[in-house]
Amino acid sequence: MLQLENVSAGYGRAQVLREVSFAAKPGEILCLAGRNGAGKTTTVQAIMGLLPLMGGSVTWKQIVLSDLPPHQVPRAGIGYVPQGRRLFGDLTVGQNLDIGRFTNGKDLHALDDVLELFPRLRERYTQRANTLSGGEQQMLAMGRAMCLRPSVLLLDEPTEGLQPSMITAIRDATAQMRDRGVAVVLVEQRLDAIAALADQVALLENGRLRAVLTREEVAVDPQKLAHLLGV
Amino acid sequence: MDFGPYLMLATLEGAVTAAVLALTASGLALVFGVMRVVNVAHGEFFMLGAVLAWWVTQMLGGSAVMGFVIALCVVPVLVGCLAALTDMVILKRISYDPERTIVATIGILYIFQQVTLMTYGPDARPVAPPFNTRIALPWIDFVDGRLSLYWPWGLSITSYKLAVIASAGVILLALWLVMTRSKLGLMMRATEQDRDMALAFGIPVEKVYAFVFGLGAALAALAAVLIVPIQQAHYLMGGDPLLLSFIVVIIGGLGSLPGAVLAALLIGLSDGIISVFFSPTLAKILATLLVAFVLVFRPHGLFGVRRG
Repeated sequence: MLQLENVSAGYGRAQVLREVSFAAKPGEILCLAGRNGAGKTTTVQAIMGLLPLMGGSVTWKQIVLSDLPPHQVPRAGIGYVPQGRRLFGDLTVGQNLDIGRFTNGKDLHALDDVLELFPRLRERYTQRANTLSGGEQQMLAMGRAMCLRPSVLLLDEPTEGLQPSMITAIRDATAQMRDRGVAVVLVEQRLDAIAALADQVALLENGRLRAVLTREEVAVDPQKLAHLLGV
Repeated sequence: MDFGPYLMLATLEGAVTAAVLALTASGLALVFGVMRVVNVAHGEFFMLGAVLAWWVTQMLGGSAVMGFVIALCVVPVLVGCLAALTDMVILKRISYDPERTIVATIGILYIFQQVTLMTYGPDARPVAPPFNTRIALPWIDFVDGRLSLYWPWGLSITSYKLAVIASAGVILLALWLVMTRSKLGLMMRATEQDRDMALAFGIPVEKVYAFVFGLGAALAALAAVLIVPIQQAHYLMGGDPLLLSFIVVIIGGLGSLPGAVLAALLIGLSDGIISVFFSPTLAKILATLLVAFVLVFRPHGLFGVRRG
């Protein structure tokens, strides 16, 4: 289980997260929801070790991730699809996927699985990443993280700005990862996505955890989530 | 000598300068491209390469070829390791902050320079070239209505200078292959493009930085070992390569390796030609003016990429 306990983090001296605690279980999708500036991306970056913690801890299977240097975090099986994709734009699709395989000894099956899930990436294999369409770039960002064979997958608004067919493809891939037993932390603002995918919803407000709702609670009273999100 | 053969001679001399400059500037471009560090001490790594080459050849004595080959293999590794250590002890501790790294590398420049003065002394010392046969070059002229081949008096170059040009070409080709075809190159390019994402995919960015800083310095040292049989080793010899490397890197585009190589060819050849026909000072003045024009009309250089 990915466990955050009293995590506080921020940028320089500016504290954004204040004592946030939640747990994401293998084979489940935990949605991190909240308004803009609530601290969703900061939470994900803190898990990845890209922001130093001001307090608290992040653990995964008895490994204290927050004690590891940042480049060791993916070696513990943590995959990351950042907001805005942040691909290595001057590198080809193949090279981006190769970078995803650095930590698992260049596992060829991982690459085959990704290319099977996203056949478009096979067609674009030798093309530079910054020449792909937005949807293809998002597939590549997902594929790059999946090449790592992650046990935990952090997805930061993966469907932002995509056309409906691409949104479906990305959601299907997310559900597939959950079904393989991966613990998925999904930063999401769309109510329909949250309702369709989430096993739990952790709601952030001004850097604090306001509530954790189960799938059943969201299904019974969707207006409650909408109200909490302010939409 | 006629103008044509004279121009050919000047071009060949310029090609030697261009070859050495391309190696030195590639090191500077690599460090800036991957680490975003302006390494003001780069010229001192060049100087250390030359001084250590003299030291190695003197220590070994005996055959000039053997001493030179050993210096060529050992000195760049020594200088590269020293640079990597410098990175880990100084630059890493100031978090590669752009302003502070400039001040830090100025400090490193003076430390290396003064330690060399204290230990090696103020004299310029030669290193014997491993081979130095003079090769006469032919010229074609139009005589009595037909082309004829002849050997003008004075049109010649040493075999060593040709070897310097060829060696630089081979080393730059090897560097290009490492950057584009190897896992190490992929790690360096990924780190260059997005440091945080490189970390998020398990690339040990701090080790990559130490390696790149060492590789940049090793390229400068390699250039110095190649040129020291022509120029002599001196504790103040790092200034000119540093200035020319900055000129090359700015014209080629900050951080661009192909840009650095092309700009080195441009600056090296023009330096050779203008120095022979006019004066070396005029060559430097024109190169500096060219930098000013590039900064005004194409601030990101010929091959540089605007970064957000």
